Amino acid sequence: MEEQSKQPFKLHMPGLLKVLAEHLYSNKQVAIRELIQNAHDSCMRRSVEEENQFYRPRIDLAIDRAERVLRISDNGSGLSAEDISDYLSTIGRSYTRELREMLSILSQEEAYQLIGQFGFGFLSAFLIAEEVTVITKSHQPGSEALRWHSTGDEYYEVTPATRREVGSTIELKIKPSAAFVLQPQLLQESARRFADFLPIPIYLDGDPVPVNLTTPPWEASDPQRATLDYIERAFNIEDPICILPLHEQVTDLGHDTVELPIKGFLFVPPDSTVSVREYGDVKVFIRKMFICDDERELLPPWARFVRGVIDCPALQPTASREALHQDETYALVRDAIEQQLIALLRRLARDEPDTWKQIVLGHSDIITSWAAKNNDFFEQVADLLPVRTSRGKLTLPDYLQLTGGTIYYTTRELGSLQDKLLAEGHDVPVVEAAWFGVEPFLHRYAQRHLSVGLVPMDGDAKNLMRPVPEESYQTLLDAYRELGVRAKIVAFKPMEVPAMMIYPKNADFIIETRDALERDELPGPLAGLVSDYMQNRMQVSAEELKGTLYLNASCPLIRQFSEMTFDDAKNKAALTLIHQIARLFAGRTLTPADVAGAFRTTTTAIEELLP
Amino acid sequence: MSDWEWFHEVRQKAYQAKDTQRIRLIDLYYEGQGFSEKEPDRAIAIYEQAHALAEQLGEGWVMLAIDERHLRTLMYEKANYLGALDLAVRATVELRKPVYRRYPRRFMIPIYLVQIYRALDARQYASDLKALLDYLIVEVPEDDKETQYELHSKRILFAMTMEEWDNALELGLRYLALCGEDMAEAVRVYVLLCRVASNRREWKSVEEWAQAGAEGARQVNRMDILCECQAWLAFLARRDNNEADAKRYYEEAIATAKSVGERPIFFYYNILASFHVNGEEWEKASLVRQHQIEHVGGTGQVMDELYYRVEHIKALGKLGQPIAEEHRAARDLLGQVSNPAPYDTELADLEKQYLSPPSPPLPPAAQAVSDGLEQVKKQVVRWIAGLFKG
Repeated sequence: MEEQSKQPFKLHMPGLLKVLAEHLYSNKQVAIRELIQNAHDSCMRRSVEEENQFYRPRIDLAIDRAERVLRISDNGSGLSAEDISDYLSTIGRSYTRELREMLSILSQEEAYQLIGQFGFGFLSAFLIAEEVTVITKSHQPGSEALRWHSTGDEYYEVTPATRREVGSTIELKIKPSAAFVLQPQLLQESARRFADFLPIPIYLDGDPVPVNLTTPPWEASDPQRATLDYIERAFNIEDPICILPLHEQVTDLGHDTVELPIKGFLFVPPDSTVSVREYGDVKVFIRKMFICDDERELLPPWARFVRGVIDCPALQPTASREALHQDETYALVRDAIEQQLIALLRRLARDEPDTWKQIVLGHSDIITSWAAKNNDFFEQVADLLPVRTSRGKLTLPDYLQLTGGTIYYTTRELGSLQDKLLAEGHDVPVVEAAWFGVEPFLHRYAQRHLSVGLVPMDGDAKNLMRPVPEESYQTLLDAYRELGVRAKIVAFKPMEVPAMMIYPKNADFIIETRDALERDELPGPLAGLVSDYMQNRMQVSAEELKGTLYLNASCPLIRQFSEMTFDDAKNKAALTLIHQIARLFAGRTLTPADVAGAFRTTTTAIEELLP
Repeated sequence: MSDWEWFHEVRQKAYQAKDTQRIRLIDLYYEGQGFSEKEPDRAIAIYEQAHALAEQLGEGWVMLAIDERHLRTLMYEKANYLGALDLAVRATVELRKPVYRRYPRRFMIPIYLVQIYRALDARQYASDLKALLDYLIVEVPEDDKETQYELHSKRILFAMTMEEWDNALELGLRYLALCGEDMAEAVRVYVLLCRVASNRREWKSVEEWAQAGAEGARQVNRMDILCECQAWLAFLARRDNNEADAKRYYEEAIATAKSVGERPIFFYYNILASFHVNGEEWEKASLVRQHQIEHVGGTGQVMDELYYRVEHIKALGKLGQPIAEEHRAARDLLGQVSNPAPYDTELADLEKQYLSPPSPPLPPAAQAVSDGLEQVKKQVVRWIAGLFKG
């Protein structure tokens, strides 16, 4: 090519719309958001440019289901022929952005009230509409009404129109595939979701009550009440434990300071039905326009018991305005929220200890697991968190008072009463650390308090029993043998318990599976594999499966037994009763046959003991 | 009743009756599912709680649905096949009860049992697994697509483990036909077909399946599958002496694998190791094998661990590094597998090759001749390999 020449880009409108529809926006409802936002900005423009104290901006939504038409009207600034050419029909150029840049020098507050940014939001109308018509009249003196019309191809038409009032009406001929937007309920939900906080009232089908709140709760005359109402309306949560308001913050960058215009609130939901449920999400608004739900990165990871709403114009939305750019400002906002949250929780712990306790108790499982991962947070909650012990829930300071400074814990669930008694082999309560977050928390606690010892009590509960020479108890052991009971003599605490029945691990499962195999209850191909598993991994004799009675030599009754003979029926009956009681406390699931057998034996024993 | 309709009914009834215990049970199920990939340990803890609660409430079907999720987490997120075996056997024994006769997902757990035994030692249990698969082929309803998918994938994997490559290919193609337009499922088949084709030395097919797999994996956002396909493409490019493409695909695969997180992607590492071996990058090959050994140890996958250790010995040998410790570890594993003979021989060969006393160093001139001959040998081998490719 000999001559170089500058050529303009060409725009293929249908291709661009396809990109918008299929790749930019995640759903078609965003078209409603974009058009409401344009209407809002138009009203804001009019109030900035036309100093009229009687001006009352409004947006109206009207559905004509028969014609498949949705109308969005505003009494904003309207569009002149120049505006139409320069902004409405120029993709990527936004009057709002230009006005905001201008206003940011004159009035930061007014600048923040404008939402539009990218200059192609209007195109999203074609996500739901096959034809778009705009009837508009500019607020500039001497303006005539105009009609702009497009079917989403390369061309648009502008013709004179009839309209008395200043403002615009966008008429969307809805595509059959998007007819869902014509449902009043859905339209109302969309308007609320996206524009609840916009200051301009939005009316639906002539209803005199606006669908949106028009004021965010933190700007209401009674912020506390309004916030509670909003939490119920938007999160479906009644009676949160507490509300933590957020505020603007000046952040020191070292070389400079930056003002972060954060507004909103965080709250702690009441303890949920699921104690492991994790929240840690916020709804994000930018200039009062909704951006996204469930934003989790803006809160610190440990704050999974917190939810909230944040409005911060400094945050940058992505082009689709359905997510946020994780840029430097985002990081600053995140840090500022973390600082504010820590300060609020500290103040709560100091000034409202009961509320703080309610939070910690209501979300203890989540808080325990996150405290183990974060030093600052750990310091705040470590002494308040209740841990499950064999004597109920206790805080660690209370627990350590009982144990003299050592944490005894087991990572299995303390199911039966016998489990708990055995776990208390050191005569102190034992912490149940079955939930996976508890053990790291205990370790951190012990690291942090050097005087605190940590003793894992896992393994065979029998380890907690001290061996005792059998000679003095031989008669007693022989008597049990005659009754068909495997018995051993040991010593354990508490001394009030005369005996415990201990079964091999998985005894119930082994018995059930062996029975099932014997009765051919498993399909052939499965029976082989299950049988192999039982042989290789569950080798327990039938005798062992009956359990072993551990007699407690520390118990006065057993010591008394050691001096007795068991030839007569009465003494034998006493042995039987001890055995049956120990069986009942062993925490095994009893079958009807077990129960019947136990009652038969016990009844006979009682009959023997009766005079 | 459809696969999950009953579950939604339990949920709906619980909410209607404000039955907090059952609401908690259903929530625990979803919570566990939410953590399964990100924090599998937390998911497992939640499933254990949920199982106990379901048992207490007498919600047997929900209990087994929870066990099924728990099993998937143990197998696919933790590669803990011994833990999975305990749970799967318990669930299998539970399933025999009449209350589960109409349970729509009753075949999933036996299918997982096949997968578990295959991972633990397929050859030892080959006849039992074959019988179980035959039984399931008859029993699983044809219109139960999800269960059919699982069954097909386990059948292929079993055929591959038994080195029945023709059968594996036929099963793979049938599985692909079953997927229809379901790309989320089809991508799983593509990687299986890559493995089958590579064992049949059908490199063109490997490339086609890997390309299709990569494209599909991008569509359905399956990074674990995408990295495996990219690794195949890197391997094939290096095999074709196209080092520029090989490097590009390799870098793509590494970047993709990073986004997979902690999820075990053993086969991806196998391809990666082969890629490095082909490029005589022994240091990197050794690192990959070390990584695999660290992740598979203690999970019950003894055959896989043995294979990784043997391959690691080869890489160490090529690097001139000591192999004694690795050799001993591999020998220890031999006692745990049902068919040790092939590895026994291979280990003996490696022992001879790398554990025998070193020969005295050659004088410098002789060493130069020896190095030169080694270079010539490599060039001849490449030239011959090129002839065969053509």
